[in-house]
Amino acid sequence: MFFYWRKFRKNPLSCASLVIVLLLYCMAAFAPWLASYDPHKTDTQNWLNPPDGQNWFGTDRLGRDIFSRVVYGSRVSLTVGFISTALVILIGTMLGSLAGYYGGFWDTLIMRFTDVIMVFPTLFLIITLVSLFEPGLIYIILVIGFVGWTSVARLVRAEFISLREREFIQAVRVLGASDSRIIFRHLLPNAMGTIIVAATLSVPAAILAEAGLSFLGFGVPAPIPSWGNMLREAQGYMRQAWWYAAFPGFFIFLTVMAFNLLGEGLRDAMDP
Amino acid sequence: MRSFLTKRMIQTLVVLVGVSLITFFMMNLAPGDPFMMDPEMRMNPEAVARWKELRQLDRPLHEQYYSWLVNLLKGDFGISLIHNRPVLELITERLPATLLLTGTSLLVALLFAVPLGILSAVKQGTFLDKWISFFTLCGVSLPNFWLGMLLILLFAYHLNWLPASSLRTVGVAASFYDYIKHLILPVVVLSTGSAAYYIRYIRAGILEVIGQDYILTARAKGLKESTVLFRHILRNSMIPVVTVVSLSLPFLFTGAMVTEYVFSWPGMGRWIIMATLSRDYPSVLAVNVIVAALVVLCNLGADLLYAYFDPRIKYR
Repeated sequence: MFFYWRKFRKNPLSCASLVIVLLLYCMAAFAPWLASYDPHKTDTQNWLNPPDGQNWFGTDRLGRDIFSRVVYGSRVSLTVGFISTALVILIGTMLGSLAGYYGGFWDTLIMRFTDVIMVFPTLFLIITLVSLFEPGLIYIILVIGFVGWTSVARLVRAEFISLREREFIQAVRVLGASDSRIIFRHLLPNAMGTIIVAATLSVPAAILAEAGLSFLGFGVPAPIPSWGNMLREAQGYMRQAWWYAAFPGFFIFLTVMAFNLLGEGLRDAMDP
Repeated sequence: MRSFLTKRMIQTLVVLVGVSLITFFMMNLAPGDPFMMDPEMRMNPEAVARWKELRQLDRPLHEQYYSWLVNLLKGDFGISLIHNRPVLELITERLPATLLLTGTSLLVALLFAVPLGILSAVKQGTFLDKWISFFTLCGVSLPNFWLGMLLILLFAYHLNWLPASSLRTVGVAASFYDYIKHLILPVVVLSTGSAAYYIRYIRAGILEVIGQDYILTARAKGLKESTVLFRHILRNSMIPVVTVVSLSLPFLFTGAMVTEYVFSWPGMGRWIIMATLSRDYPSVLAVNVIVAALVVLCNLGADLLYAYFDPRIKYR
Protein backbone atom coordinates (compact mmCIF):
# COMPACT_ATOMS: atom_id res chain seq x y z
CA MET A 1 0.00 0.00 0.00
CA PHE A 2 2.78 2.35 1.01
CA PHE A 3 4.57 1.47 -2.23
CA TYR A 4 1.55 2.47 -4.32
CA TRP A 5 1.21 5.70 -2.39
CA ARG A 6 4.83 6.60 -3.09
CA LYS A 7 4.29 6.05 -6.80
CA PHE A 8 0.99 7.92 -6.76
CA ARG A 9 2.54 10.87 -4.91
CA LYS A 10 5.08 11.41 -7.68
CA ASN A 11 2.42 12.53 -10.16
CA PRO A 12 1.40 16.13 -9.40
CA LEU A 13 -1.83 15.87 -11.43
CA SER A 14 -3.01 12.84 -9.47
CA CYS A 15 -2.27 14.61 -6.20
CA ALA A 16 -4.16 17.68 -7.36
CA SER A 17 -7.14 15.53 -8.31
CA LEU A 18 -7.08 13.83 -4.91
CA VAL A 19 -7.13 17.24 -3.21
CA ILE A 20 -10.03 18.41 -5.40
CA VAL A 21 -12.02 15.26 -4.67
CA LEU A 22 -11.44 15.68 -0.93
CA LEU A 23 -12.45 19.34 -1.13
CA LEU A 24 -15.63 18.41 -3.00
CA TYR A 25 -16.51 15.88 -0.31
CA CYS A 26 -15.87 18.53 2.35
CA MET A 27 -18.13 20.89 0.41
CA ALA A 28 -20.91 18.31 0.47
CA ALA A 29 -20.38 17.47 4.12
CA PHE A 30 -20.22 21.06 5.36
CA ALA A 31 -22.79 22.50 2.94
CA PRO A 32 -24.87 24.23 5.66
CA TRP A 33 -21.80 26.13 6.88
CA LEU A 34 -20.41 26.94 3.45
CA ALA A 35 -23.59 28.10 1.76
CA SER A 36 -24.12 31.80 2.29
CA TYR A 37 -27.91 31.54 1.91
CA ASP A 38 -30.69 29.00 2.27
CA PRO A 39 -30.70 27.22 -1.14
CA HIS A 40 -34.51 27.15 -1.14
CA LYS A 41 -35.12 30.77 -0.09
CA THR A 42 -36.68 32.70 -2.96
CA ASP A 43 -36.34 36.45 -3.40
CA THR A 44 -38.65 37.92 -6.00
CA GLN A 45 -36.91 41.29 -5.83
CA ASN A 46 -33.58 39.91 -6.98
CA TRP A 47 -34.13 37.29 -9.63
CA LEU A 48 -31.53 36.63 -12.32
CA ASN A 49 -29.02 38.95 -10.66
CA PRO A 50 -25.51 38.69 -12.13
CA PRO A 51 -22.70 37.52 -9.85
CA ASP A 52 -21.62 40.14 -7.33
CA GLY A 53 -20.21 40.41 -3.82
CA GLN A 54 -23.41 39.14 -2.24
CA ASN A 55 -24.39 36.34 -4.61
CA TRP A 56 -21.06 35.03 -5.82
CA PHE A 57 -22.58 32.97 -8.62
CA GLY A 58 -25.60 35.24 -9.16
CA THR A 59 -29.23 34.35 -8.52
CA ASP A 60 -31.65 32.13 -10.43
CA ARG A 61 -35.13 32.69 -11.85
CA LEU A 62 -36.68 32.63 -8.36
CA GLY A 63 -33.99 34.77 -6.79
CA ARG A 64 -32.32 31.82 -5.10
CA ASP A 65 -28.59 32.07 -4.51
CA ILE A 66 -26.86 29.92 -7.15
CA PHE A 67 -23.68 29.50 -5.08
CA SER A 68 -25.64 27.98 -2.20
CA ARG A 69 -27.55 25.74 -4.58
CA VAL A 70 -24.32 24.58 -6.21
CA VAL A 71 -22.89 23.79 -2.77
CA TYR A 72 -25.95 21.75 -1.81
CA GLY A 73 -26.06 20.19 -5.28
CA SER A 74 -22.71 18.56 -4.60
CA ARG A 75 -24.48 16.34 -2.08
CA VAL A 76 -26.66 14.81 -4.79
CA SER A 77 -23.82 14.24 -7.25
CA LEU A 78 -21.41 12.79 -4.73
CA THR A 79 -24.04 10.58 -3.13
CA VAL A 80 -25.02 9.21 -6.52
CA GLY A 81 -21.39 8.75 -7.46
CA PHE A 82 -20.53 6.93 -4.27
CA ILE A 83 -23.53 4.63 -3.73
CA SER A 84 -24.08 3.78 -7.40
CA THR A 85 -20.43 2.86 -7.69
CA ALA A 86 -20.66 0.66 -4.61
CA LEU A 87 -23.56 -1.16 -6.30
CA VAL A 88 -21.72 -1.36 -9.60
CA ILE A 89 -18.69 -2.90 -7.92
CA LEU A 90 -20.76 -5.29 -5.83
CA ILE A 91 -22.78 -6.65 -8.75
CA GLY A 92 -19.92 -6.54 -11.24
CA THR A 93 -17.46 -8.29 -8.95
CA MET A 94 -19.94 -10.94 -7.94
CA LEU A 95 -21.02 -11.84 -11.47
CA GLY A 96 -17.54 -11.41 -12.91
CA SER A 97 -15.93 -13.70 -10.36
CA LEU A 98 -18.65 -16.34 -10.73
CA ALA A 99 -18.20 -16.34 -14.50
CA GLY A 100 -14.43 -16.22 -14.35
CA TYR A 101 -13.96 -18.81 -11.62
CA TYR A 102 -16.45 -21.46 -12.59
CA GLY A 103 -16.42 -20.96 -16.37
CA GLY A 104 -18.56 -23.25 -18.53
CA PHE A 105 -22.30 -22.90 -18.15
CA TRP A 106 -22.19 -20.05 -15.61
CA ASP A 107 -19.73 -18.15 -17.73
CA THR A 108 -21.93 -18.44 -20.83
CA LEU A 109 -25.09 -17.52 -18.95
CA ILE A 110 -23.62 -14.50 -17.17
CA MET A 111 -21.71 -13.21 -20.17
CA ARG A 112 -24.72 -13.46 -22.51
CA PHE A 113 -26.74 -11.54 -19.94
CA THR A 114 -23.94 -8.96 -19.80
CA ASP A 115 -24.07 -8.70 -23.60
CA VAL A 116 -27.81 -8.04 -23.49
CA ILE A 117 -27.36 -5.21 -20.98
CA MET A 118 -24.42 -3.83 -22.95
CA VAL A 119 -26.26 -3.50 -26.25
CA PHE A 120 -28.99 -1.39 -24.66
CA PRO A 121 -28.33 2.29 -25.22
CA THR A 122 -27.40 2.99 -21.58
CA LEU A 123 -29.08 6.32 -20.98
CA PHE A 124 -32.21 5.03 -22.64
CA LEU A 125 -32.36 1.95 -20.44
CA ILE A 126 -31.88 4.18 -17.40
CA ILE A 127 -34.68 6.49 -18.52
CA THR A 128 -37.01 3.54 -19.06
CA LEU A 129 -36.23 2.12 -15.63
CA VAL A 130 -36.40 5.45 -13.83
CA SER A 131 -39.78 6.23 -15.37
CA LEU A 132 -41.12 3.08 -13.72
CA PHE A 133 -40.71 4.54 -10.24
CA GLU A 134 -41.79 7.63 -8.39
CA PRO A 135 -39.24 10.39 -8.91
CA GLY A 136 -36.64 10.17 -6.16
CA LEU A 137 -32.93 10.12 -5.55
CA ILE A 138 -32.87 6.56 -4.22
CA TYR A 139 -34.32 5.09 -7.43
CA ILE A 140 -31.87 7.00 -9.58
CA ILE A 141 -28.98 5.64 -7.53
CA LEU A 142 -30.34 2.09 -7.75
CA VAL A 143 -30.98 2.25 -11.48
CA ILE A 144 -27.56 3.69 -12.33
CA GLY A 145 -26.00 0.99 -10.19
CA PHE A 146 -28.01 -1.83 -11.74
CA VAL A 147 -27.21 -0.72 -15.27
CA GLY A 148 -23.53 0.15 -14.98
CA TRP A 149 -21.90 -3.05 -13.76
CA THR A 150 -21.21 -4.70 -17.14
CA SER A 151 -17.68 -3.44 -17.73
CA VAL A 152 -16.64 -4.27 -14.16
CA ALA A 153 -17.98 -7.80 -14.58
CA ARG A 154 -15.93 -8.21 -17.73
CA LEU A 155 -12.75 -6.86 -16.14
CA VAL A 156 -13.07 -9.05 -13.04
CA ARG A 157 -13.85 -12.10 -15.16
CA ALA A 158 -10.77 -11.54 -17.31
CA GLU A 159 -8.64 -11.07 -14.21
CA PHE A 160 -10.00 -14.27 -12.62
CA ILE A 161 -9.47 -16.30 -15.75
CA SER A 162 -5.83 -15.31 -15.92
CA LEU A 163 -5.32 -15.74 -12.17
CA ARG A 164 -7.03 -19.07 -11.67
CA GLU A 165 -4.46 -20.99 -13.74
CA ARG A 166 -1.50 -19.53 -11.85
CA GLU A 167 0.63 -21.87 -9.79
CA PHE A 168 -0.14 -20.35 -6.41
CA ILE A 169 -3.84 -20.88 -6.93
CA GLN A 170 -3.27 -24.47 -7.98
CA ALA A 171 -1.09 -24.94 -4.93
CA VAL A 172 -3.85 -23.67 -2.68
CA ARG A 173 -6.30 -25.96 -4.41
CA VAL A 174 -4.05 -28.98 -3.93
CA LEU A 175 -3.91 -28.07 -0.24
CA GLY A 176 -7.66 -28.62 -0.21
CA ALA A 177 -8.95 -25.06 0.06
CA SER A 178 -12.65 -24.61 -0.63
CA ASP A 179 -13.93 -22.57 -3.58
CA SER A 180 -15.06 -19.70 -1.40
CA ARG A 181 -11.70 -19.59 0.37
CA ILE A 182 -9.87 -19.49 -2.97
CA ILE A 183 -12.14 -16.74 -4.25
CA PHE A 184 -12.18 -14.54 -1.16
CA ARG A 185 -8.71 -15.11 0.25
CA HIS A 186 -6.65 -15.52 -2.90
CA LEU A 187 -8.31 -14.38 -6.10
CA LEU A 188 -10.16 -11.25 -4.97
CA PRO A 189 -7.20 -9.66 -3.14
CA ASN A 190 -5.13 -10.12 -6.27
CA ALA A 191 -7.82 -8.53 -8.41
CA MET A 192 -8.21 -5.62 -5.98
CA GLY A 193 -6.08 -3.19 -8.01
CA THR A 194 -8.27 -3.65 -11.08
CA ILE A 195 -11.42 -3.29 -9.00
CA ILE A 196 -10.30 -0.11 -7.23
CA VAL A 197 -9.37 1.55 -10.52
CA ALA A 198 -12.66 0.48 -12.12
CA ALA A 199 -14.52 1.87 -9.11
CA THR A 200 -12.81 5.25 -9.31
CA LEU A 201 -13.53 5.46 -13.01
CA SER A 202 -17.19 4.52 -12.62
CA VAL A 203 -17.85 7.40 -10.23
CA PRO A 204 -17.67 10.03 -12.99
CA ALA A 205 -19.88 7.88 -15.21
CA ALA A 206 -22.53 7.74 -12.49
CA ILE A 207 -22.29 11.48 -11.83
CA LEU A 208 -22.68 12.24 -15.54
CA ALA A 209 -25.63 9.85 -15.77
CA GLU A 210 -27.43 11.57 -12.89
CA ALA A 211 -26.73 15.01 -14.33
CA GLY A 212 -28.02 13.91 -17.72
CA LEU A 213 -31.16 12.40 -16.22
CA SER A 214 -31.90 15.48 -14.13
CA PHE A 215 -31.24 17.65 -17.16
CA LEU A 216 -33.78 15.71 -19.20
CA GLY A 217 -36.27 15.92 -16.34
CA PHE A 218 -36.13 12.31 -15.17
CA GLY A 219 -33.82 12.92 -12.28
CA VAL A 220 -33.92 14.46 -8.87
CA PRO A 221 -37.31 16.16 -8.36
CA ALA A 222 -37.37 19.95 -8.58
CA PRO A 223 -37.00 21.63 -5.19
CA ILE A 224 -33.89 19.63 -4.33
CA PRO A 225 -30.93 21.38 -5.97
CA SER A 226 -28.88 19.12 -8.22
CA TRP A 227 -26.38 20.35 -10.79
CA GLY A 228 -28.31 18.60 -13.53
CA ASN A 229 -31.72 20.06 -12.74
CA MET A 230 -30.21 23.52 -12.27
CA LEU A 231 -28.98 23.27 -15.85
CA ARG A 232 -32.46 22.19 -16.89
CA GLU A 233 -33.96 25.29 -15.30
CA ALA A 234 -31.26 27.46 -16.82
CA GLN A 235 -32.17 26.34 -20.34
CA GLY A 236 -34.94 28.90 -20.66
CA TYR A 237 -32.83 31.81 -19.40
CA MET A 238 -29.68 31.47 -21.45
CA ARG A 239 -30.02 34.81 -23.16
CA GLN A 240 -30.51 36.79 -19.96
CA ALA A 241 -28.30 34.91 -17.52
CA TRP A 242 -25.11 33.11 -18.56
CA TRP A 243 -24.17 32.47 -14.93
CA TYR A 244 -27.28 30.34 -14.44
CA ALA A 245 -25.94 27.60 -16.69
CA ALA A 246 -22.23 28.27 -16.33
CA PHE A 247 -21.59 27.48 -12.66
CA PRO A 248 -23.53 24.25 -12.09
CA GLY A 249 -22.13 22.87 -15.35
CA PHE A 250 -18.61 23.84 -14.39
CA PHE A 251 -18.92 21.92 -11.15
CA ILE A 252 -20.09 18.80 -12.96
CA PHE A 253 -17.11 19.18 -15.26
CA LEU A 254 -14.68 19.74 -12.37
CA THR A 255 -15.95 16.77 -10.37
CA VAL A 256 -15.97 14.38 -13.30
CA MET A 257 -12.50 15.50 -14.36
CA ALA A 258 -11.10 15.12 -10.84
CA PHE A 259 -12.39 11.57 -10.54
CA ASN A 260 -11.11 10.69 -14.00
CA LEU A 261 -7.64 11.99 -13.13
CA LEU A 262 -7.70 10.21 -9.79
CA GLY A 263 -8.63 6.93 -11.46
CA GLU A 264 -5.84 7.30 -13.97
CA GLY A 265 -3.35 8.19 -11.28
CA LEU A 266 -4.35 5.07 -9.36
CA ARG A 267 -4.05 2.94 -12.45
CA ASP A 268 -0.57 4.25 -13.20
CA ALA A 269 0.45 3.67 -9.60
CA MET A 270 -1.00 0.17 -9.30
CA ASP A 271 -0.22 -1.21 -12.72
CA PRO A 272 3.19 -2.81 -12.68
CA MET B 1 -15.67 -18.80 -41.33
CA ARG B 2 -19.16 -20.01 -42.13
CA SER B 3 -19.59 -21.80 -38.83
CA PHE B 4 -18.27 -18.71 -37.05
CA LEU B 5 -20.93 -16.62 -38.78
CA THR B 6 -23.71 -19.07 -37.92
CA LYS B 7 -22.60 -19.13 -34.32
CA ARG B 8 -22.52 -15.34 -34.16
CA MET B 9 -25.94 -15.11 -35.81
CA ILE B 10 -27.44 -17.41 -33.19
CA GLN B 11 -25.79 -15.36 -30.45
CA THR B 12 -27.17 -12.20 -32.01
CA LEU B 13 -30.68 -13.64 -32.06
CA VAL B 14 -30.42 -14.66 -28.40
CA VAL B 15 -29.26 -11.18 -27.43
CA LEU B 16 -32.05 -9.52 -29.41
CA VAL B 17 -34.73 -11.74 -27.92
CA GLY B 18 -33.28 -10.92 -24.51
CA VAL B 19 -33.45 -7.21 -25.22
CA SER B 20 -37.04 -7.39 -26.41
CA LEU B 21 -38.09 -9.59 -23.46
CA ILE B 22 -36.53 -7.26 -20.91
CA THR B 23 -38.03 -4.17 -22.52
CA PHE B 24 -41.44 -5.76 -22.93
CA PHE B 25 -41.83 -6.96 -19.39
CA MET B 26 -40.16 -3.94 -17.86
CA MET B 27 -42.63 -1.62 -19.54
CA ASN B 28 -45.64 -3.79 -18.83
CA LEU B 29 -44.90 -4.47 -15.19
CA ALA B 30 -44.57 -0.75 -14.55
CA PRO B 31 -47.43 1.07 -12.92
CA GLY B 32 -49.34 3.39 -15.24
CA ASP B 33 -50.55 2.85 -18.77
CA PRO B 34 -50.65 4.74 -22.07
CA PHE B 35 -53.86 6.50 -21.03
CA MET B 36 -52.58 8.10 -17.88
CA MET B 37 -51.55 11.24 -19.77
CA ASP B 38 -55.04 11.73 -21.17
CA PRO B 39 -57.48 13.11 -18.57
CA GLU B 40 -60.56 12.54 -20.73
CA MET B 41 -59.75 8.88 -21.16
CA ARG B 42 -59.02 8.60 -17.45
CA MET B 43 -62.56 9.74 -16.66
CA ASN B 44 -64.05 7.09 -18.86
CA PRO B 45 -63.06 3.54 -17.85
CA GLU B 46 -65.35 2.02 -20.46
CA ALA B 47 -63.53 3.77 -23.27
CA VAL B 48 -60.22 2.64 -21.87
CA ALA B 49 -61.45 -0.94 -21.72
CA ARG B 50 -62.69 -0.78 -25.31
CA TRP B 51 -59.39 0.68 -26.39
CA LYS B 52 -57.44 -2.03 -24.68
CA GLU B 53 -59.63 -4.65 -26.31
CA LEU B 54 -59.15 -3.08 -29.70
CA ARG B 55 -55.36 -3.03 -29.30
CA GLN B 56 -55.41 -6.46 -27.66
CA LEU B 57 -53.86 -5.02 -24.52
CA ASP B 58 -56.28 -7.04 -22.37
CA ARG B 59 -54.76 -10.38 -23.24
CA PRO B 60 -52.19 -12.16 -21.06
CA LEU B 61 -48.67 -10.79 -21.35
CA HIS B 62 -47.06 -13.84 -22.89
CA GLU B 63 -49.69 -13.89 -25.64
CA GLN B 64 -49.09 -10.19 -26.32
CA TYR B 65 -45.35 -10.79 -26.51
CA TYR B 66 -45.79 -13.75 -28.82
CA SER B 67 -48.01 -11.88 -31.26
CA TRP B 68 -45.62 -8.92 -31.18
CA LEU B 69 -42.76 -11.26 -32.08
CA VAL B 70 -44.71 -12.90 -34.91
CA ASN B 71 -45.66 -9.51 -36.32
CA LEU B 72 -42.07 -8.34 -36.04
CA LEU B 73 -40.93 -11.22 -38.19
CA LYS B 74 -43.41 -10.00 -40.82
CA GLY B 75 -41.80 -6.56 -40.59
CA ASP B 76 -44.64 -5.04 -38.61
CA PHE B 77 -43.62 -3.07 -35.54
CA GLY B 78 -47.19 -2.39 -34.42
CA ILE B 79 -49.09 0.84 -34.01
CA SER B 80 -48.07 3.63 -31.67
CA LEU B 81 -50.51 3.94 -28.79
CA ILE B 82 -50.07 7.69 -28.61
CA HIS B 83 -49.80 8.78 -32.22
CA ASN B 84 -52.16 6.13 -33.53
CA ARG B 85 -49.90 5.53 -36.52
CA PRO B 86 -47.59 2.66 -37.47
CA VAL B 87 -44.38 2.80 -35.44
CA LEU B 88 -42.30 2.11 -38.51
CA GLU B 89 -43.70 5.24 -40.13
CA LEU B 90 -42.84 7.34 -37.07
CA ILE B 91 -39.32 5.96 -37.04
CA THR B 92 -38.64 6.44 -40.73
CA GLU B 93 -39.75 10.06 -40.40
CA ARG B 94 -37.24 10.75 -37.64
CA LEU B 95 -34.38 8.38 -38.30
CA PRO B 96 -32.75 10.35 -41.16
CA ALA B 97 -32.19 13.41 -38.97
CA THR B 98 -30.66 11.29 -36.22
CA LEU B 99 -28.48 9.36 -38.66
CA LEU B 100 -27.34 12.60 -40.26
CA LEU B 101 -26.28 13.90 -36.86
CA THR B 102 -24.62 10.72 -35.56
CA GLY B 103 -23.00 9.85 -38.88
CA THR B 104 -21.48 13.28 -39.37
CA SER B 105 -20.32 13.33 -35.77
CA LEU B 106 -18.69 9.93 -36.09
CA LEU B 107 -16.86 11.07 -39.23
CA VAL B 108 -15.74 14.34 -37.68
CA ALA B 109 -14.63 12.59 -34.50
CA LEU B 110 -12.50 10.11 -36.45
CA LEU B 111 -11.14 12.85 -38.67
CA PHE B 112 -9.72 14.60 -35.62
CA ALA B 113 -8.99 11.59 -33.47
CA VAL B 114 -6.86 9.57 -35.86
CA PRO B 115 -4.19 12.19 -36.62
CA LEU B 116 -4.16 13.56 -33.07
CA GLY B 117 -3.96 10.08 -31.57
CA ILE B 118 -1.06 9.14 -33.86
CA LEU B 119 0.70 12.41 -33.17
CA SER B 120 0.39 12.10 -29.44
CA ALA B 121 1.70 8.52 -29.47
CA VAL B 122 4.60 9.19 -31.82
CA LYS B 123 5.61 12.27 -29.83
CA GLN B 124 5.04 10.50 -26.52
CA GLY B 125 6.11 12.48 -23.49
CA THR B 126 6.60 15.76 -25.32
CA PHE B 127 4.85 19.03 -24.65
CA LEU B 128 2.47 18.36 -27.55
CA ASP B 129 1.51 14.94 -26.19
CA LYS B 130 0.78 16.45 -22.78
CA TRP B 131 -1.49 19.08 -24.27
CA ILE B 132 -3.36 16.57 -26.38
CA SER B 133 -3.80 14.35 -23.32
CA PHE B 134 -5.06 17.28 -21.31
CA PHE B 135 -7.62 18.20 -23.94
CA THR B 136 -8.83 14.63 -24.31
CA LEU B 137 -9.30 14.47 -20.56
CA CYS B 138 -11.39 17.64 -20.75
CA GLY B 139 -13.36 16.18 -23.65
CA VAL B 140 -14.14 13.01 -21.75
CA SER B 141 -15.20 14.95 -18.66
CA LEU B 142 -17.41 17.57 -20.33
CA PRO B 143 -21.12 16.85 -19.94
CA ASN B 144 -22.29 17.17 -23.54
CA PHE B 145 -25.49 19.05 -22.70
CA TRP B 146 -23.49 21.68 -20.85
CA LEU B 147 -21.08 22.03 -23.74
CA GLY B 148 -24.11 22.44 -26.00
CA MET B 149 -25.56 25.16 -23.82
CA LEU B 150 -22.24 27.03 -23.70
CA LEU B 151 -21.83 26.85 -27.47
CA ILE B 152 -25.39 28.09 -28.01
CA LEU B 153 -24.71 30.92 -25.58
CA LEU B 154 -21.54 31.96 -27.36
CA PHE B 155 -22.12 31.29 -31.04
CA ALA B 156 -25.87 31.68 -31.31
CA TYR B 157 -26.80 34.32 -28.75
CA HIS B 158 -23.71 36.49 -28.34
CA LEU B 159 -21.94 36.29 -31.69
CA ASN B 160 -25.05 35.44 -33.67
CA TRP B 161 -23.04 33.33 -36.12
CA LEU B 162 -24.88 30.04 -36.00
CA PRO B 163 -28.47 28.95 -35.36
CA ALA B 164 -29.25 27.49 -31.94
CA SER B 165 -31.81 24.90 -32.88
CA SER B 166 -33.55 22.74 -35.44
CA LEU B 167 -32.42 21.18 -38.69
CA ARG B 168 -33.02 24.06 -41.07
CA THR B 169 -34.42 27.57 -41.14
CA VAL B 170 -38.19 27.58 -41.26
CA GLY B 171 -39.71 29.43 -44.17
CA VAL B 172 -36.54 29.44 -46.23
CA ALA B 173 -35.98 27.08 -49.11
CA ALA B 174 -33.79 24.18 -47.97
CA SER B 175 -30.20 24.61 -49.04
CA PHE B 176 -26.99 22.71 -48.40
CA TYR B 177 -25.39 25.73 -46.74
CA ASP B 178 -28.36 26.09 -44.40
CA TYR B 179 -28.13 22.44 -43.33
CA ILE B 180 -24.40 22.76 -42.69
CA LYS B 181 -24.91 25.85 -40.56
CA HIS B 182 -27.45 24.01 -38.43
CA LEU B 183 -25.27 20.93 -38.19
CA ILE B 184 -22.10 22.60 -36.91
CA LEU B 185 -22.95 23.10 -33.22
CA PRO B 186 -24.66 19.73 -32.56
CA VAL B 187 -21.91 17.90 -34.40
CA VAL B 188 -19.22 19.68 -32.37
CA VAL B 189 -21.03 18.72 -29.16
CA LEU B 190 -21.57 15.11 -30.13
CA SER B 191 -18.13 14.51 -31.60
CA THR B 192 -16.07 16.13 -28.82
CA GLY B 193 -16.66 13.35 -26.31
CA SER B 194 -16.21 10.49 -28.74
CA ALA B 195 -13.15 12.05 -30.38
CA ALA B 196 -11.56 12.30 -26.95
CA TYR B 197 -12.23 8.60 -26.29
CA TYR B 198 -10.87 7.58 -29.68
CA ILE B 199 -7.69 9.63 -29.23
CA ARG B 200 -6.93 7.85 -25.98
CA TYR B 201 -7.44 4.42 -27.46
CA ILE B 202 -5.51 5.16 -30.62
CA ARG B 203 -2.63 6.49 -28.53
CA ALA B 204 -2.66 3.47 -26.22
CA GLY B 205 -2.96 1.07 -29.17
CA ILE B 206 0.01 2.59 -30.97
CA LEU B 207 2.16 2.69 -27.84
CA GLU B 208 1.47 -1.00 -27.36
CA VAL B 209 2.65 -1.83 -30.87
CA ILE B 210 5.62 0.54 -30.95
CA GLY B 211 7.47 -1.50 -28.33
CA GLN B 212 7.18 -4.79 -30.25
CA ASP B 213 10.19 -6.56 -31.70
CA TYR B 214 8.89 -6.55 -35.27
CA ILE B 215 8.88 -2.76 -35.28
CA LEU B 216 12.52 -2.82 -34.26
CA THR B 217 13.14 -5.30 -37.08
CA ALA B 218 11.35 -3.09 -39.58
CA ARG B 219 13.47 -0.13 -38.54
CA ALA B 220 16.63 -2.24 -38.59
CA LYS B 221 15.84 -3.28 -42.15
CA GLY B 222 16.25 0.38 -42.98
CA LEU B 223 12.63 1.07 -43.85
CA LYS B 224 11.58 4.67 -44.05
CA GLU B 225 10.00 5.92 -40.83
CA SER B 226 6.75 6.69 -42.66
CA THR B 227 6.58 3.12 -44.01
CA VAL B 228 7.15 1.75 -40.52
CA LEU B 229 4.44 4.00 -39.16
CA PHE B 230 1.78 3.38 -41.76
CA ARG B 231 2.44 -0.21 -42.80
CA HIS B 232 3.54 -1.75 -39.53
CA ILE B 233 2.45 0.32 -36.58
CA LEU B 234 -0.88 1.72 -37.71
CA ARG B 235 -2.25 -1.41 -39.20
CA ASN B 236 -1.54 -3.42 -36.09
CA SER B 237 -2.81 -0.79 -33.72
CA MET B 238 -6.15 -0.52 -35.51
CA ILE B 239 -7.67 -3.46 -33.63
CA PRO B 240 -8.35 -1.76 -30.31
CA VAL B 241 -9.56 1.27 -32.25
CA VAL B 242 -12.08 -0.77 -34.21
CA THR B 243 -13.33 -2.27 -30.94
CA VAL B 244 -13.71 1.09 -29.28
CA VAL B 245 -15.46 2.68 -32.22
CA SER B 246 -17.94 -0.18 -32.50
CA LEU B 247 -18.54 -0.27 -28.75
CA SER B 248 -19.02 3.48 -28.63
CA LEU B 249 -21.85 3.45 -31.16
CA PRO B 250 -24.64 2.95 -28.59
CA PHE B 251 -23.16 5.81 -26.58
CA LEU B 252 -23.09 7.95 -29.67
CA PHE B 253 -26.73 7.13 -30.10
CA THR B 254 -27.77 8.02 -26.57
CA GLY B 255 -25.48 11.04 -26.70
CA ALA B 256 -27.43 12.02 -29.78
CA MET B 257 -30.64 11.89 -27.73
CA VAL B 258 -29.36 14.47 -25.27
CA THR B 259 -27.80 16.57 -28.00
CA GLU B 260 -31.03 16.48 -29.97
CA TYR B 261 -32.84 17.59 -26.85
CA VAL B 262 -30.54 20.58 -26.34
CA PHE B 263 -30.69 21.66 -29.98
CA SER B 264 -34.36 20.79 -30.62
CA TRP B 265 -33.14 18.49 -33.38
CA PRO B 266 -36.09 16.80 -35.12
CA GLY B 267 -34.69 13.28 -34.66
CA MET B 268 -35.68 10.33 -32.53
CA GLY B 269 -34.38 11.74 -29.24
CA ARG B 270 -37.25 13.84 -27.99
CA TRP B 271 -39.87 11.52 -29.45
CA ILE B 272 -38.48 8.45 -27.74
CA ILE B 273 -38.15 10.23 -24.42
CA MET B 274 -41.83 11.18 -24.63
CA ALA B 275 -42.78 7.67 -25.76
CA THR B 276 -41.06 6.20 -22.71
CA LEU B 277 -42.79 8.61 -20.38
CA SER B 278 -46.21 7.90 -21.80
CA ARG B 279 -45.71 4.10 -21.94
CA ASP B 280 -46.05 3.86 -25.68
CA TYR B 281 -44.99 0.19 -25.63
CA PRO B 282 -44.78 -0.48 -29.35
CA SER B 283 -42.58 2.55 -30.03
CA VAL B 284 -40.23 1.90 -27.13
CA LEU B 285 -39.93 -1.78 -28.00
CA ALA B 286 -39.23 -1.05 -31.63
CA VAL B 287 -36.53 1.51 -30.92
CA ASN B 288 -34.84 -0.69 -28.32
CA VAL B 289 -34.75 -3.67 -30.64
CA ILE B 290 -33.60 -1.65 -33.65
CA VAL B 291 -30.81 0.07 -31.75
CA ALA B 292 -29.72 -3.18 -30.15
CA ALA B 293 -29.70 -4.85 -33.56
CA LEU B 294 -27.58 -2.02 -34.97
CA VAL B 295 -25.13 -2.37 -32.12
CA VAL B 296 -24.86 -6.12 -32.46
CA LEU B 297 -24.33 -5.80 -36.20
CA CYS B 298 -21.61 -3.23 -35.63
CA ASN B 299 -19.89 -5.59 -33.23
CA LEU B 300 -20.06 -8.35 -35.79
CA GLY B 301 -18.62 -5.96 -38.37
CA ALA B 302 -15.82 -5.13 -35.96
CA ASP B 303 -14.98 -8.81 -35.55
CA LEU B 304 -14.79 -9.23 -39.30
CA LEU B 305 -12.60 -6.14 -39.60
CA TYR B 306 -10.15 -7.64 -37.09
CA ALA B 307 -9.39 -10.40 -39.52
CA TYR B 308 -8.77 -7.82 -42.22
CA PHE B 309 -6.37 -5.77 -40.12
CA ASP B 310 -4.63 -8.74 -38.61
CA PRO B 311 -4.56 -11.84 -40.84
CA ARG B 312 -3.33 -13.89 -37.89
CA ILE B 313 -6.86 -13.79 -36.56
CA LYS B 314 -8.97 -16.56 -38.04
CA TYR B 315 -12.51 -17.41 -37.13
CA ARG B 316 -13.63 -20.97 -36.97
